[in-house]
Amino acid sequence: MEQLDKKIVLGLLLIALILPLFANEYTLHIVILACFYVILSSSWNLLAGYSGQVSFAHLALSSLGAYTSGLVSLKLGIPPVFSILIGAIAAGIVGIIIGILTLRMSGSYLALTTIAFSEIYRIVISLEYEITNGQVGLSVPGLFGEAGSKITYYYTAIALVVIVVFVGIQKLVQSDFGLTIRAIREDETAAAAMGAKVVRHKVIVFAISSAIAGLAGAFLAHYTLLVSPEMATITEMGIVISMSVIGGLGTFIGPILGGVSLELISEYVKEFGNYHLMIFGLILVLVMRFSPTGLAGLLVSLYTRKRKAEQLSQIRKEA
Amino acid sequence: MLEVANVEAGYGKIQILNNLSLSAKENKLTLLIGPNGAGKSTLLKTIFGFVTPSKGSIRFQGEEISGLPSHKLANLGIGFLLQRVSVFPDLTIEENLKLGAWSFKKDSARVAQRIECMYEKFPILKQKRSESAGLMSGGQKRMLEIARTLMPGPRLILVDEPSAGLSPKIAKEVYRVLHELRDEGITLLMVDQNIRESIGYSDHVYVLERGQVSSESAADEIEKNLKQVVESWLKF
Amino acid sequence: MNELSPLLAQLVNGLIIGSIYGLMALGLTVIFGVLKIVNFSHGEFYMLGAYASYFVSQTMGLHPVAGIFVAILATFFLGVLIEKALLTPLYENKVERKDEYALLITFGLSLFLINMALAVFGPFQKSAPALTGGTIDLGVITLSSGKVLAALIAIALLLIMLFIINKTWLGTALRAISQDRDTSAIMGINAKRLGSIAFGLGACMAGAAGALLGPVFLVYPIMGTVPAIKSFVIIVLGSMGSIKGAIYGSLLVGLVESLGVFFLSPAYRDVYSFLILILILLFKPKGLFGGAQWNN
Repeated sequence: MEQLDKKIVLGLLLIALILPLFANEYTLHIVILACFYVILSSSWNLLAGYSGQVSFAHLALSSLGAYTSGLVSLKLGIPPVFSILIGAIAAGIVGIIIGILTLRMSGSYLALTTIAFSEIYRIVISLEYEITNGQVGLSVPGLFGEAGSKITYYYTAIALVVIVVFVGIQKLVQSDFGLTIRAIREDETAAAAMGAKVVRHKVIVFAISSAIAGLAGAFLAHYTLLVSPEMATITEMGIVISMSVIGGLGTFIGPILGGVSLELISEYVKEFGNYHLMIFGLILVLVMRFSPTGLAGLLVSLYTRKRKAEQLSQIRKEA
Repeated sequence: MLEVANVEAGYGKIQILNNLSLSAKENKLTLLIGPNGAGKSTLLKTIFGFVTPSKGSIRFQGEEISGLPSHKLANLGIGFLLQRVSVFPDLTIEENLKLGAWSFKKDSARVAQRIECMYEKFPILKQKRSESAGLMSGGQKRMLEIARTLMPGPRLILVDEPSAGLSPKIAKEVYRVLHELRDEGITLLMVDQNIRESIGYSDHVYVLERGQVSSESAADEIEKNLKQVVESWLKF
Repeated sequence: MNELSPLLAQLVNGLIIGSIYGLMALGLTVIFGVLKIVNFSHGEFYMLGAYASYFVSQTMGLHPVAGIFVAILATFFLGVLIEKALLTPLYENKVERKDEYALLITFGLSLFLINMALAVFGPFQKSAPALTGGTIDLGVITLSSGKVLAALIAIALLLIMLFIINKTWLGTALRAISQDRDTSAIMGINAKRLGSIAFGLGACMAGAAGALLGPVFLVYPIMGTVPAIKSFVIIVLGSMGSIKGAIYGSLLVGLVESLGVFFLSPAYRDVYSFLILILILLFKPKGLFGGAQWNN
């Protein structure tokens, strides 16, 4: 399993490295967007898949990071490199607050609360146009200045962010911490009885995943040069949930596979019309119904079957 | 009436019943006893389709019933008295009884007649007919459960620990009612821990150990050797 | 008196819309009671009901009331089919975390239905014809007859549903399943089949609400999101799964909204009830009355 993970990640990295040599700006732009979604899916998966807290506030927190960073850089003149970090921290802090407030809620109740939070947030930023410029959105400075085409810079920057986030999440879920949050997901009471610090772990996961979401949102803001309430819609949340679940909830590689493959599908489908979200929804339903472990689960079972067949033929040869 | 042959069943990977065979004769009260974890309750659940057997056959009046979904068994004339309280707490007593007649709900005259019949048998239920069943005492709930089971006129009733959680006086009353049912021609297959009390009302006894029948005999015979049987469980 | 009439108008308006949301919330309650799941695609049945009635009245030129009946039938059968196709693994013990399964699969369904509506009907807002023209003058305030008729139909449908739940074999069996699924099987009740019917009933109540509110608001693909969240608020407010609670909850939400609109700001109309939801769940993480009992 871990071997397979490594192979896939290394393969993707290799493609990412040689891509700028061949690809045009448009392709790089798509890859940057895909990276944004993959970061969001991976961090949502940390929260929902590993610790079992299915939150619908992830995109709201991402948008919060974007608005914070945008406003800080606009109003205080702080360079985007730093304001992005401030945005991430702000999202992390609000994540801690939500995490603490929703500690005792589980399943559907947590989902309902976070949907309500997310919608309130979206309505407030759409209406308070004196600060946020409302539905039109806020123009913010670019990470690498305003002028001309600097897409390879952005590409390199987000690739670095992706690597840092992946390595971080990978280390986290394989540590004792990761084991504990999975134990809490399976049975909170039993985990607590065995001495796991349930409260602390749940809140920390909320904080980390929210901060990553804030980071991704802030980065995207300073890349597209615009922050709008669009990012905080339930539809956007749906994209991220689809990517994680279709890829494989609770697996490291899942959200990456899901993010990349859905982004490819949507690019292909867009030629025919705006059908990609309908297709995401359909695949999400089908995956939940027929293959809840997602693409990652399918790959693993294929891989182990192949290994088993190889081992079998090896044994036969020896015999 | 009921024949269980070579049944294997369990939960997930844990197998509870190992190649178990027994039968319940018509118009008799057959008692299943055995130490905890012997598979007594699991057997009843398997007969009623809540647990699907992986092997073996279960025949009721000559007809194969293993693998049938639970809700089909009521229509065949099999009732099930659970160990736990199983009245619908927020339904009235009359609604509880009515649901016992679900299998012939279209025949409203018969439903009314059966309810009246139960009220005659258990007058306390008539008094409280429009109260919520959840508000009754433990003994009254048990009587309601029995009455509800009798509504469709079952041929066979599976009974799981009928006296669990009841006071000795009420437990006696429950056994008396069950014994009466047998005399009226209903076949009973009963699991009970309260052996001393229940064995006197039974006709035939199976001893279950580790998912298998370890011995069987007529009730009065085993009553004499009861001490030996129980001591043999304590050895492991 | 004249100073108070805008408030009065707001309150009456709130109660009218509240009664229609109540219908939708009762649907959510029936589904929650029998299947023990929150249907996150409830708003999309509302939307489909609105479109169904819009097409019957606008395209086919029939009376809008006929549209409501078509909407109810269509969403009922769609609900039954969807339950059979997607939710049966829940009670075949094939799913590890049932809550999560139900949550994600109904959310996926919602995403699919919204965007299918976008693809098929287009993003444009359509205005459905009112149920009836004219106004009713009550002296202090004036109401549009269409809205009043919509509320009356909603109340009639609510009463019919309460009758079905409390007085019929079907309703008694549904309540039995919600209280004790295993025992209902011992009675011979096919809980799987009735589960599909319960989902259909719940879905068609949302469909009816959509058909009733379509002429009041506008008809468009994401019209269901806000009413769905409001039904969540209502059932959490009235304790999950309680039928009476759903009805009181809907009146309360209608009142809070109209008071908020009058005293605070109309722009934040939707925020007030969402805030109530968060506040209740903060203090009572399993809803106001904790349990999931389906009592009356």
